[in-house]
Amino acid sequence: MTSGSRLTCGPGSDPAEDNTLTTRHSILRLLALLPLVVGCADYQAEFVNDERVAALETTSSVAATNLTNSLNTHFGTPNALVAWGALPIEFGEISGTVLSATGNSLRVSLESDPPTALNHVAVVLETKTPQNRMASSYDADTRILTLTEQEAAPAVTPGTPLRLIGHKLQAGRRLYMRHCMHCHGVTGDGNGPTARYIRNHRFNPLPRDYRRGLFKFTSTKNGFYAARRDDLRRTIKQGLAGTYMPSFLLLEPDELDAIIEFVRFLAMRGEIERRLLTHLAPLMPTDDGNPPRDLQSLEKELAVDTFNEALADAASLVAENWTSAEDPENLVIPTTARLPDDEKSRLKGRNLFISTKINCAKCHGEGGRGNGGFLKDIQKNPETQQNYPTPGLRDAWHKMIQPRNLTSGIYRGGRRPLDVYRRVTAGIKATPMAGFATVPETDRWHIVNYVLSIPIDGAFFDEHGHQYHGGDDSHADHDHPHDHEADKSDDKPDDKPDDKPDDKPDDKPETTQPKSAKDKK
Amino acid sequence: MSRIFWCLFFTVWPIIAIVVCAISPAMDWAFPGNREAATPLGQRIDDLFYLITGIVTVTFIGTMGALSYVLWKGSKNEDEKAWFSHGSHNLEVIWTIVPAGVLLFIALYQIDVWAIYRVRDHENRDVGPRPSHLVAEVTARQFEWRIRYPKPGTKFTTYKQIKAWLAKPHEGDVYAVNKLFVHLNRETLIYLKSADVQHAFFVPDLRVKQDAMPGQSIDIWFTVNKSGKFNLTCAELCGWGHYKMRGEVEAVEDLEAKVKELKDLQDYDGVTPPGTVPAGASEEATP
Amino acid sequence: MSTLNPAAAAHDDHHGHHELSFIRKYVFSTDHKMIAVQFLITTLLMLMLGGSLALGVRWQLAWPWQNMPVFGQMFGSEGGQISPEFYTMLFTMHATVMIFLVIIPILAGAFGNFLIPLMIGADDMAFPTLNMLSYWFMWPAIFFFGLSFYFGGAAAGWTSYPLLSALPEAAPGSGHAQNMWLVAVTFIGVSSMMGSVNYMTTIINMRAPGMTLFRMPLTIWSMFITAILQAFALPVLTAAGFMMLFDRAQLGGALEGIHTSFFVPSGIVVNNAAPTVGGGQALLWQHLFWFYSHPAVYIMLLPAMGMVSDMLAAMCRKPIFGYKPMAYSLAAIAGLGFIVWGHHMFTSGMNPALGMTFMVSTIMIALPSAIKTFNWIGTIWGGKIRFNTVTLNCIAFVSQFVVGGLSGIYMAAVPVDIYIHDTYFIVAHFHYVLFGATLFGVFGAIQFWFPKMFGRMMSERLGKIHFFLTFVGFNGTFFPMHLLGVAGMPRRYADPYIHPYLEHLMPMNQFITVCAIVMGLAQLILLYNWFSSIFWGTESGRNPWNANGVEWIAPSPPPHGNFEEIPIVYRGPYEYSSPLVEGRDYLMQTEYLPPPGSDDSGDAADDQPADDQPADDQPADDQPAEDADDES
Repeated sequence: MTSGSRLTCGPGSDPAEDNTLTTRHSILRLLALLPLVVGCADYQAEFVNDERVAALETTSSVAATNLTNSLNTHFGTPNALVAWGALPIEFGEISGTVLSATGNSLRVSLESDPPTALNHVAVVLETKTPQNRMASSYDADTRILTLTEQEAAPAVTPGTPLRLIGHKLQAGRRLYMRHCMHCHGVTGDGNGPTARYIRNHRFNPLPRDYRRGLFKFTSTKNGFYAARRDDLRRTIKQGLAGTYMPSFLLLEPDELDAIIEFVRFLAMRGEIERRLLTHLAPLMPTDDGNPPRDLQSLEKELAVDTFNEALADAASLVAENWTSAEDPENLVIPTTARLPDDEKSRLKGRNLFISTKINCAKCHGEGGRGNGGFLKDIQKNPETQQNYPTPGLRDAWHKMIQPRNLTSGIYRGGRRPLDVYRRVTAGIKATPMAGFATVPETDRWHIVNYVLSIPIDGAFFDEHGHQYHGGDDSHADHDHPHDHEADKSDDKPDDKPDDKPDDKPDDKPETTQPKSAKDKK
Repeated sequence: MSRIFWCLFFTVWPIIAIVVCAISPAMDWAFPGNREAATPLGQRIDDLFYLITGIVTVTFIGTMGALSYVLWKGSKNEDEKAWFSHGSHNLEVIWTIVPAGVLLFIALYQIDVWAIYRVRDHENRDVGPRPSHLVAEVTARQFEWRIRYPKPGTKFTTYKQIKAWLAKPHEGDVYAVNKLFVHLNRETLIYLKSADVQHAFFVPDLRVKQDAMPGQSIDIWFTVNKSGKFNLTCAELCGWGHYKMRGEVEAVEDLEAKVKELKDLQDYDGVTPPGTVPAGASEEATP
Repeated sequence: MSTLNPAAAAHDDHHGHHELSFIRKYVFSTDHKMIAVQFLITTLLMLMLGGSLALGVRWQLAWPWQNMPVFGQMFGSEGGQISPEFYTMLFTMHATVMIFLVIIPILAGAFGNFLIPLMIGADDMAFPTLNMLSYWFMWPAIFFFGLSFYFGGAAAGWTSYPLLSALPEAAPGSGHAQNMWLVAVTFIGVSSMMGSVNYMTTIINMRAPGMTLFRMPLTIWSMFITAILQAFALPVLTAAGFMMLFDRAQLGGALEGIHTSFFVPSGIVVNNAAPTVGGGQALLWQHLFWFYSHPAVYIMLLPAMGMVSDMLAAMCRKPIFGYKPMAYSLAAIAGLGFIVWGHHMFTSGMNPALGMTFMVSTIMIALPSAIKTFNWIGTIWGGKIRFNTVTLNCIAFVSQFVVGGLSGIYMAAVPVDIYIHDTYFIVAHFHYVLFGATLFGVFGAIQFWFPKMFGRMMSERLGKIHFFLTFVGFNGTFFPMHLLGVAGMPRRYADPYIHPYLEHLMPMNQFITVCAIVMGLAQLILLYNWFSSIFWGTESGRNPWNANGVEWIAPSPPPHGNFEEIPIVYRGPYEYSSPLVEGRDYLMQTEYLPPPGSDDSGDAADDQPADDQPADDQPADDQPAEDADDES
């Protein structure tokens, strides 16, 4: 990572060894403001540890303590967040210069006005050795930045640059607690109080557990498990159709940005915790509940000697993952435009759908209803290589999921051709929906055209291009002219008795656009 | 002493109530959006509201005044006995007939407004909406508003066509969520459905409210005559996220162009050469 | 109707010379007075529970997502915030407890039970054992409501509209809570039905000699009409409740497979469950529910109206102005009350033509209420008013009933109702009628008949303080809600301020919450007053108020059997300030006056035959009610 001035840790943590990490930004503390007249304290939230930490505690309390302390130091608590510069998060930074300093207040000139809820945000004074303070309030009229009482303003010459860091993360946290926490949980573990309301039906997706850093609906290539900011923005703005993730379309753009940063913060925190637990895995109790052999030496090696290195490695891996997800190189973008959405293309798509090479029907079923034969098989847990107890597909969180019912017209990842293309190309991360990036792009467009036509025209196309209703291939034999125009007449009178089934409307509305592709001959 | 206190007590509280109501428009505790409805029908509803407020205020002042008066006189009464009266037939007649007349007036006055609001006359095409006014199907679900516009350029001429369109997805439909565009200065017809439980489509600025019943498609029609963005909320308990269903209705001059814009964004395939896609299209979310 | 008292003969052998055990006397008593007190204690405690739930709701609206005292610790969820579904449970159970466990039982169960036999001169109810059962059936209802808390709380509002309530997937996490709720409603319905059968029979059959229908106090009229309302409307709710239980099909065991779809249309997918088989209509529940629940609101109002009439006459020392119009108005309200239920459903998607028919009947029902209001004012007019706790509460009833009634006019205008339906305007309206009118009437009744119940007086000072704080707190809480409703703030929102057009309403909501807290705390004064006066109140004697009703000739408290002898009724109950007697301003119903033209026609006091005035413990009758009227 980057080097720079060494800084001591923030207050409140006292790990066994020097836990500093050199970064350009300092390690800082943020405290959310005391909100309202009643004098109630802010949300009394605490981050929740991963379930395995409790198990670790039983064998090696040193390891558990180091783990929790390092998380505390580098991420803080919900009411006192820490901006750790190692992570690619926009904490929100405002630069300015100090005009004068008296007592515990500074008169400053800032490049932009901070949001009104500016409290306990970190102040970095770029003196020769950068100094940290905490702001308690800012008055836009007098331009006085008041520091918290414990900290006197340092002796700084006027003109010293300073930075206020953290207001965006803080805003994101407050918005998250109001809009998101009750499903996604304080720690982003998908276990808020409302989650048990969503848990009811077997196949309903639970709120996302961010702590693996895995997000399903991304626009990045396979192998990049992090999500881009744009992907998160899309999910929050559009919601996930057909699930309990609603659309937050009407949040302001800056509110959305703040929430996105906070979600990334929670994801990164979870990932680092997870990687540290992997590093400390040999210290976990064995299957029969006993401590591992060589506990003492393992403990010294893993929890003390190499711990910091493991932390630094975890941080850099996580940061790299998230940063490279933003790289335009890793975006899934077609090279050719969508092929014309005509009957021929759809037929080709259908054939590819049921072909043994690609075999979408294996999971999605012959009719696209998500009831393919693969569901009857028992799958293996990729982490433990053991079989799951019951047949069916599971996602990376080991929850049962179903392949999408393509006849419903509900597309969780978006309904644009580009979105469906991405599903076909890069799949859905953390699920058995694999990407088919090696399949030629033209073929993938044929599949896209076919899939998008299913809710409107049905799934079953025989080789003559005829549509039929599932399972019955008798149409394949009959011999009738391929002139479908004769079946539909647009000039039937309005008062025809209404006993025709709705799926064959006998009068279609006029349209100034060309009729649907399949009517073109 | 306590007599004066209590008589004042019962006189002062109605006065405070009236004062609070009188200052409420100035304090913004009144109809939202500058207190003027954005539809002609909404304006008529407001007029009806103010008419009733006038009648109610007069009645309130009258009753409270009478109450204060009788309390004052009664508590001052030093006689050995009170007025031994079992009632007055004439008074009973008067205060039956007069309120009955007022109530009858209110009843008749509002019938017209209600008819325009909800009664659609199939034969007489000048009353109520016409099929060509169809703008969108709005499906309320837990906890958002899912919107589907017909393909831009589609003209519906019969309700049967609309019914067929409502029954299933069609080619060229444009989908949106939580944000509904409607006509400005032209009649808008939308069909309201529910995907799961009961919801209610409530746009306070337009004075429009209709419950969304699962299993039904209910038509709502209105004409927006003020441009702007109007809040859309849910007004029927639909679960724990009832308060979260925040949407927006925006009235635009050229609705067809707007929907076409949405369709272009919806058709984005990541590659289509510039010029065929509006400048706003991006990697980002469909609007 | 019979003016003889046939049951009296049968009761002679009851006039217990046997000592009842503690359990039979105080717990499973069949004496209507003991049952009434049991109802009263239970409902007062339920009042506290319902009020606390409401304070939870108010807290969230004033300080959204901030840590809630008491509830936050007990049911705390993550982050120190309550969860949105907890909020849903709070307002659902607040309404449920207040309606089913407080208002209806306190009016019918407590006061109906206590007053009916005493006021008509009977010695007990027609069916004493049934009466006892009606009280004890409240406890399974309380148990099942409590059980629903345990399961997470019914979360579909007290109106319990399907499909939110009919499909377990729609509000999961409330799991079995909705089933428990439906069972509890059934129990409380049974309890009410038992009561109403009793009241009707007693009033029709057991009136004392001379007590014709038009000599009955208006309290009895109102209890009678209320009982009829209960009897005809309740079965519909009970049936609907069973239909919904079968729809929910989680009964288990032999009932597991029922799975009807009375209220569930087909093809609905909720929470990604399998699409419903359906065939039903969600709107059906609304019709069935409101067919009961509209008469229910009159059940919750009429007895209070009747009691207030009696109290006002006594406190103003005047006959009721327009007794017959008052009685006919009660009947008109009840009768019309059966045909207005659709006014809760104007936006529901029912045929718009019904909007007009229900509008007409709703407008009509304003008329008898207006007539009654004018008659109350007429009763006070020209009276001799003493401002004691009873009077104050009754005047508050009248003035707040006016507000409640007038706000109802807005809703009767259907286009306006489209706007204000499901906003805080509705909340303001019904709290004005249910709390501002009924509950204040109940507070007055508690104070007024306490001496008869316990032989002691409640404290006037505490009563006035309680009244003042409650009145100010109540109006501070609920009057601004009219404005919130007009501003478009919907009901049942856990966090209205995420909607931009509602953000500016937070200060007003905070003001309302503060007033609500004051009002809630003030009720502790009432509880203290009530409980402590039972043991330490000043003794009252038989008729501390110098009132006219038959109940005031019985000892305070009345023994089993109520009266030493069967009372004989000579006149109506409102002959206050009658010119027929000199030197006093009341003339009891049971007081015999020699016909005019005999000697000393003016002074009845010497001429009274011994039967209808007990010779011993005399003083109470002539004792001016000094203790009642008070330190002002």
